[in-house]
Amino acid sequence: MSNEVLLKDCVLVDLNVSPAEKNAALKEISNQLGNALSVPATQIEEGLLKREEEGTTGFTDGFAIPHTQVPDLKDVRIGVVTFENSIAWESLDGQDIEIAIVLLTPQAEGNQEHLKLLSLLSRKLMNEDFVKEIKENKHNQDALFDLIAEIVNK
Amino acid sequence: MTKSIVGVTKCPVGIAHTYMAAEKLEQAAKKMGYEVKMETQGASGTENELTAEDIKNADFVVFAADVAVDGMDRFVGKKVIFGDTPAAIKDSEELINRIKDTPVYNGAGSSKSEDDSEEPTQKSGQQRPAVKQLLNGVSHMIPFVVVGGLFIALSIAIGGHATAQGMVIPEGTIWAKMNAIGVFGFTLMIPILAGYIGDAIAGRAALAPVMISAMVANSPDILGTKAGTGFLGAILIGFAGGYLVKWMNSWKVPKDLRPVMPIFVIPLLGTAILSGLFVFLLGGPISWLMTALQDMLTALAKNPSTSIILGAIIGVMVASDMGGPINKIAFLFGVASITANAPQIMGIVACCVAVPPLTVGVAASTRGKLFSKEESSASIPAILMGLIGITEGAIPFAAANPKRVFPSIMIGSAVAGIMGAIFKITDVVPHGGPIVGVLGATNNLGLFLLSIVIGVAVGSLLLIFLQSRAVKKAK
Repeated sequence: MSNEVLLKDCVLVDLNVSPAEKNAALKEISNQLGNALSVPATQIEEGLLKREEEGTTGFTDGFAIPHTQVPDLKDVRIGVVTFENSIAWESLDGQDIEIAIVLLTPQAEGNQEHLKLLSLLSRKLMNEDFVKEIKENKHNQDALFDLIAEIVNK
Repeated sequence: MTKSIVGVTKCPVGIAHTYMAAEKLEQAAKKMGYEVKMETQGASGTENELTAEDIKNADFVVFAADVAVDGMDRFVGKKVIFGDTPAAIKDSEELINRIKDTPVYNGAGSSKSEDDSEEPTQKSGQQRPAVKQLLNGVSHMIPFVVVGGLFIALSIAIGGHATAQGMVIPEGTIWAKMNAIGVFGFTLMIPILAGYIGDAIAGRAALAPVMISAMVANSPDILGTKAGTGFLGAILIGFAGGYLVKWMNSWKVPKDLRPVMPIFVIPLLGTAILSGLFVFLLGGPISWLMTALQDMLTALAKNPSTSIILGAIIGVMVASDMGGPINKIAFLFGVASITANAPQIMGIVACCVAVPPLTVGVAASTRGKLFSKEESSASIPAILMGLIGITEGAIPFAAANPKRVFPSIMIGSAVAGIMGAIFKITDVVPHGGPIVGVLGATNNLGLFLLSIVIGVAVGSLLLIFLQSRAVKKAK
C-alpha cells in the first residue's frame, strides 16, 4: 500500500446519506473510509462524533472538515466526500454541507511531514479560488483526487 | 509605517482549525492593510513562532484559540483580542475590528502617563516582563489601599482616642464599624497584589494558590512568628506562584484531565506547595531576623550617645517593609519603651511612621507628571494616611518603583528619626504620625511636627529628583 496521504479509494463522490444529517453522514463516511483504509469503522466514527461534540467542524461555503485520531491507523490519511443531498451540519454560516474533507491522524506520533501537509490543506480551504474549483468538480472523482492530491501527496 | 498585527491560533486537535484560522486572519489583515504574522500551535508543534521583536513591534495581538495558548506571558502589556477559531474562520475582519474596545492584556498598571495610549508599544516594549507583572499587581491593589486607608484614617481621626493601648475607637460606634470596613480593604490588598502578579504570569489559574498563600504568609499564627511577611512577601509569593502555575500549565496531561486542571489540580497542588513552602521554610528565618533586630536595638538603646544612630536605624527599619517583620520590630520596640517608662524610642517611631506615605504623597501631588495616573490619584489618600500614622499608604508606590521609592522613604524616615532623637521627642501612645501629637501624646508638638516635616522634605525632594532622572532617561 502506498504511503500517500490521499488514496483514490478515499475520494467518495455523491455519497447517498439518509436521513441527510450529520450523524448519519459521519456513520456512512466512517464505514466507507474504514473499508478503504482497513481500520475498524467504529474507531473512526467514535472519534469523529467526539470531535463534533467539542465544536462543529462545519465551517463556511458548504464545507466541513470532520477530523480525529484513529488508534489503529498507521499514518496520516484523508478522505474527500461529496454528498448527493447536502447535509444538515450546524455550520458556522448556517449552510448545509456539500463537501467534507475528512482528516484522520494516527494515535501514535504522526509523520510530521504529513501533519504539515494537512495544515497546508486546511489553509488552502480558506482560499476562495480553491474552494470554487472543488465545488465545480464535486461530481468528478478523478478531478477531485487530482486537485487535493496535488497538495497532500508529496 | 504600516501597522502590524501578530497573533496565535490554536484548536483542540491542532490539525485543521488552527491553520484555517491563521490563514483567514492573514488574508483579512493584509486586506485591511496590516502587516501580519500568525503563530500556529498545532499537532505538528509551534510554527512561525513569534519572536520578542515581532511582538514588540506589533500594534496589537489577535488570538484565535479554543484552548489555552502557550507562552501567554509574552503578550503582557499588549492589546490582545481574545477570539476563538470559529470567529476567525467566519469573519476575521470583524475579529480584528474588535481592537477598538480591547484593553491592554494584564498590563493595566503599566500606563505611565497621558500620552501612553498613543504609543503603547514603544513604552511597553521598554518595560521588562517582571516590571509589567509587578505593576499588574500594584494597579489592582491601589483601590484597596485607598478604600482601606481612607476608612481607617478617617475613623481614627474622628472617632479615635489616644490611650495606652494605642489609638482606640470605642466599640459600637459608627467609627468602629468604619474602621473595621477599612481593615478589610487593608487585609485584601496583600492577596490582591500577590494574586495579580501571579495572574500576569500564568493566568487565572494562579489566582487561588497565590492569593491563599499570600494570606498564609501574612498570618503570624500560621507561620508561628510575631509578624507576617508583609507586602514584600506578597510580591515574592506572586512571582513564585505565578511561575509555579505556569510550569504546571505546561504539564502534558491526558485530554480527559485537562478541564479539571485549572479548577481542581492546579489550585489544590499549587496552594499546598506554595503555602507549605512559606509555613515550613520561612517561619524560622523571619523569627530569627526579628530576634536579631530586637537584640541590635536593645544594645543601641542602652547607650545614650548612640541615640542618633538608633534614630536613623529605626527610621530605615520603619520604611523598609511597611507592615512586614522589620517594620514590626521597630514598632514593637517603641511600644516596649512606653511600658519601660522610656517613651523616647516610641517618640522616634512616631516621627518615622508618618514619613513614607507623606513623602510619596507630597512628591506625587506636587510633581504629578513624574508619576502614573494611578499613583497621582493615590497621593491624597497617602497624605491622609501619613497624617494618621498609617505607613502602609506608601506601599503602592514602593511596590511600583522600589528602586527609587525605597531609598527616598528610608532616608526621609531616617532623617525624621534622627531629628526625633535629637529633640528627645517622647510619645506615650503606641501609635505614630502627626495625629498623636495633635492629641497631646508627645512632649513637644512643635518639635515633633518639625521632625516629620524635615524628614518628608528630604525624602520627597530625593524622590522627585530620582523620578525626574528616570523619566528623562526613559525619553
